[in-house]
Amino acid sequence: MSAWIAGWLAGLLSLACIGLLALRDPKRLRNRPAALRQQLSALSPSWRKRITVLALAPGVALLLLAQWAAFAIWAGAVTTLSWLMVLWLASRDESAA
Amino acid sequence: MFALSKDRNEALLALHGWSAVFLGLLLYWVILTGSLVVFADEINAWAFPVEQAEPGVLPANLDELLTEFHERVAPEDRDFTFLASGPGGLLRIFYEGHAPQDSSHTGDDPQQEPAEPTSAMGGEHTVQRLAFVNPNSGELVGELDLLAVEEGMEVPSNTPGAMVARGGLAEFFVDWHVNLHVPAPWGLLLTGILGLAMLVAAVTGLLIHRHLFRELFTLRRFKGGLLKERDSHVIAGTWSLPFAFVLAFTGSFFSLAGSFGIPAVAFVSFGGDQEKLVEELVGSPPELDPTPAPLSSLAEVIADVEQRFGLAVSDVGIFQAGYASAELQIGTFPPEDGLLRRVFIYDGVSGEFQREKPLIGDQASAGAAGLGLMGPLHFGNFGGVWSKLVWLSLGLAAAYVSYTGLTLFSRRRAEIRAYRILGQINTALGYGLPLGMATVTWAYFLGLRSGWHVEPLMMLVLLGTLVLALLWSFVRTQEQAARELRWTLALSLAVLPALRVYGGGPLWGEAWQMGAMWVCALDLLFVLTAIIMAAPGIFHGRLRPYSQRQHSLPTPDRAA
Repeated sequence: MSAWIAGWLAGLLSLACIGLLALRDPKRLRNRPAALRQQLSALSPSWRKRITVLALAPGVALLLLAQWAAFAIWAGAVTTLSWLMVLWLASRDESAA
Repeated sequence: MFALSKDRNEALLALHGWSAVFLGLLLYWVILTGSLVVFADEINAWAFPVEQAEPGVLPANLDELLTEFHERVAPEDRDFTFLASGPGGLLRIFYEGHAPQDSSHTGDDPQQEPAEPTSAMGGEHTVQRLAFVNPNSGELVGELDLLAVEEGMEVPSNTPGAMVARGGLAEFFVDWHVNLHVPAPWGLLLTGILGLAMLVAAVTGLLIHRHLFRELFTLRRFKGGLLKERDSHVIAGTWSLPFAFVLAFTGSFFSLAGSFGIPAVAFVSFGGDQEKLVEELVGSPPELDPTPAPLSSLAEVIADVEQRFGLAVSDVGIFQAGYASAELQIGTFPPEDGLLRRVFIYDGVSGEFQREKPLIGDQASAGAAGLGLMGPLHFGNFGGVWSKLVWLSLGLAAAYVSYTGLTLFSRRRAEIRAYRILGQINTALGYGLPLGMATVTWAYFLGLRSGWHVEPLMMLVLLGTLVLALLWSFVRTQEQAARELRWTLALSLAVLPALRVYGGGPLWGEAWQMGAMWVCALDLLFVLTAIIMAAPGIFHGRLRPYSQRQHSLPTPDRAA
């Protein structure tokens, strides 16, 4: 499998976990507009830790498999897309406010 | 996250802020241009497409092209020849020799035997040139005398060939990124210091934003004002923090190694002889055997590398072509799962594999591997377009952090006039730089079409754009200036495809037939970016006119 496919697949897996963390993040939920605050409950700390480990697992797997190029693409893609996801979530909150 | 005393925290906050103020704007320029020149090959392929040529890949008819080159250039002028892919897919040929200038270009007789070398190929170079050849026709598109450039002699730049010989459109942006168009070595020193400032900002940012991991997802845009500015800066900075370290460190290394590190080490250990230091690090050319001998087939050697190591060849270095001691250095792209390129040594006459050569020294080492990682980690060119795309995004995120950092700094102190002016300058140059890059591209195409000297025109247009953006920001409010500069940028990007055609570039149908996909791809990208910039509300799910939206630039009172 080419580096970019492996990197992006791993990145999407991580992004799904980070998406869950973002949606149910306690601080983000506390700071949403008042009308939206009660819609979702925050994840418990133990679940947040588990999901964080899951989010990092694809990157660790790529490192263990010595897929250096895929790891670099994974790391870059996850950080960039996570940032964009946070922007998008904030934009949704702003529209709803 | 880190327990710091109040005083220390304030001191770090001041250091973080002032490092950003003094160097932030220049840093923003360096990062933004650096992000875009990740795609330098593709930008050149857009501006100067070559039929059926893929950027970054060596042409298949390398032997034929090299034979033609050997017929044109006398053997003593090419002790060392380096072949790689150039702008738009042209073949880039760097060559250097030790012959007197007036004896060069004696290629009238193709069967001419190599001249007896006079200096065992040591000492000062008397020939150092860069040539660009169309791989389809073998035509010499442009050639640049590097020694003349080094001596500050004027080089004509009013033809496409001359521009290509200087690296094409993207070279202007590369120069901007590498040395801000400041003469060597000062430009490199400046960008090296900027890289170190970025490291300082990243480290101090990590320390002062102690809750950054708890706030990874907290962006309170709906609250507006300073809180929104602060969250935007922190969120972008946090997510791009690992790469800010990597890009700042590798960038500083590239800038300072050439301008400071190598001269300093040469001064201390080699009596100031930098060539000797480089020879010590990367190895000397082979011992010269002046017996004439034909060069082995490059196609066969490249096929052997691909078969033996499973790697694609990116470049070929040839020492002493035409002599019995000829040697080939074959450089490869990184393997699919790796980041490091490899270099193999082949006999230049028999074409037999001899050994693998580390980047520095004779033996593989951690130092050589570390040095080898610098390039791919800085340029993001190890995994084709996809890794470049990721690096572009990371670079844009880092540029955004730099811009919002300065915005935040000035708005927090908006009650003081000097900081309000700083904010206006930040807005003007923040939008003025990308606008300058667009208008410079205008100048490139208009200059080619009109036969003007392209490079001075590009520089003039750049400076003019920045000055106009600054003036505009002072006659309008900061918000109005930002909006209008953004619209101007959108317009400038939208007309780029038309100007490219006006400058002599192909229409889409022709480009499609030429196999020049980057022409269509970048044309579309520019138009799409223009639409996004002109209508940001569409992408926020809000179609209200801009004037009806809530804006939240703080007044001095609010900021206080």
